[in-house]
Amino acid sequence: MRETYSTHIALLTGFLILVVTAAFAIIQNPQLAALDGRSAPALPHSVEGRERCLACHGRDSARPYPQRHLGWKEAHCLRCHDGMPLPKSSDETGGRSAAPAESAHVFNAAPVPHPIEGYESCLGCHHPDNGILRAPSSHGKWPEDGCTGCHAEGP
Amino acid sequence: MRHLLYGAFWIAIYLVLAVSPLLVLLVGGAPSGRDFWRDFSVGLGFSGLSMAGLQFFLTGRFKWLTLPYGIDVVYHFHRQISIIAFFFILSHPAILILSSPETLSVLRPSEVPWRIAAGVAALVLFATIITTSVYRGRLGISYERWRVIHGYAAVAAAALGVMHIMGVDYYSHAPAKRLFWIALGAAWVLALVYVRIGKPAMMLRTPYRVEKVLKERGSSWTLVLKPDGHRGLTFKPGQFGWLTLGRSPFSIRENPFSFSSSAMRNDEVRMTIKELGDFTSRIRETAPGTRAYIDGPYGMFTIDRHLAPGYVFIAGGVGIAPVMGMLRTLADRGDKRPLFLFYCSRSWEETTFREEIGGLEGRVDLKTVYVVESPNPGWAGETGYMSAQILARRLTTPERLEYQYFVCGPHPMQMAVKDALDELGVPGEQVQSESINFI
Repeated sequence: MRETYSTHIALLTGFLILVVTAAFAIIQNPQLAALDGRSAPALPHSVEGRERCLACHGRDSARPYPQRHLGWKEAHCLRCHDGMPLPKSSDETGGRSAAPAESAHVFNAAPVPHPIEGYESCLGCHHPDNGILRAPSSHGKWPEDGCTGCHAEGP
Repeated sequence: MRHLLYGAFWIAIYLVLAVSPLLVLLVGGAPSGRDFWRDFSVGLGFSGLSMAGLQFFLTGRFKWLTLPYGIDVVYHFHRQISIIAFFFILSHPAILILSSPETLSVLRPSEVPWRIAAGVAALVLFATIITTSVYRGRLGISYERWRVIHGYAAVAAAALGVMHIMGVDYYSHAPAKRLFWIALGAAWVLALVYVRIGKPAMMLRTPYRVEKVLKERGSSWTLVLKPDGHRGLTFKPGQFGWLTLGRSPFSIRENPFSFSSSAMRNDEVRMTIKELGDFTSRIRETAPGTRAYIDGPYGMFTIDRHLAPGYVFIAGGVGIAPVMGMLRTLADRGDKRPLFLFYCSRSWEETTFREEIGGLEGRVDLKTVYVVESPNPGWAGETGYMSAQILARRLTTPERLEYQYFVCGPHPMQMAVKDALDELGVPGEQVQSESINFI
């Protein structure tokens, strides 16, 4: 009898705590203030054409994002890093990207030793599994339209 | 009314304290929100851990906290809200993983950082606490062993939970927020220190000595305890206390038992105990002179809190112990009000205190109805289980709707009697019961 009374109090209390917790998440969600006094490192390269951050910085990539960032969405990266507005999607830029000048400096990626123009697909020759000149196996999960993000067209 | 307001006040305080980590974030400013599910899962983790920490207060037997509800309600609330808190805590990683499956990568043995290990260990300990509490009987864990596991696991789980939050360091990075969590943890530790050190230290000043152990009918024993060097305990008839027998009051091994003696005598305390478990089955072996300590009194199951023109006591088995305390007190007070006792037992031979009850009928206006489950041949009284029919047949006075009813016995019996009294039209607020099974 009295157990029923305490069960009712517990259920009501639990429900109210759940409501406050949900309210916290709703109120918290749209806020995008900077971290408590902390600033995220600035990006060492431009974002243009490389808006798919996780293509190069996914957990299983060669340069994964830090473990502490688990759970953040790709769209969140640029909210803190560099503070730059989100660039257009790759669809809007026509799929393949222009090679930024700082790519070789940032990733030390070898320049493309031939003209890019005229080639439909990098993977036609450089597929990590069956290409004539295979890309390294670590590149397996990178998207095709990301090649020129690091490998600039050579002279 | 005063108790009602006082009770509502403590529930409000509990609510505010449980969500205080979130309130601090909302009021004091929080870092960037992420997505709803991630913040919701973190919020559940914060609330769940805060609720878990508050258990140290709920189980601290603070009289200012138990007064409006009764300690049985506070303990049952502790049990129910613990399960809710556990599901909040469990939801924290579950939602994180469901909303971002890559979160599972932190559990790779080669990558798991200490802050995640602390969180996982806390979760495992909380699961252990809940499992061993809910399924103690099925797991065959003795009450005493369970209390040891429960106590140490609770402290370790709360400490690991705070370490996890500090290690993740997202919402607790600002110095004021770190200070808040440290203060919260310190408050839990203080409650624990009071319960495990402060209160036992005070109990050292009021020891008892076992004068004798009396064999009662129904595999029960009465411990007669005499205060040793102090004035004894003042309690209300029907209340109970936690007994530490033959050990230091700092021992975690203590058990709750009702006082079966008259509240008008503080030169001795009697506790009547049925052989049911590890501790109780050894009561008969207690040697006179054994040192004992009593933490009490506690409980709302008392005629002194529920005044009425008459009382009806309905007891089953060793549930007669607090009822005997009330009957003996009424007799010592020379009370003239009408009293009815319905006493259910397995057999006439196992009917505890039946001889003394007969004597009490001459001292107070007491009418007793024995309900025997397995009667001997020739038994002319009531048989079987307590029912509305028995109550209606034996409780014919029209004033019965004005009386207070005290029900004490096994849980199924209590529920059956509640239904029977409801059937007879007895208002629920006139039916008092108390369970001191605090697991």
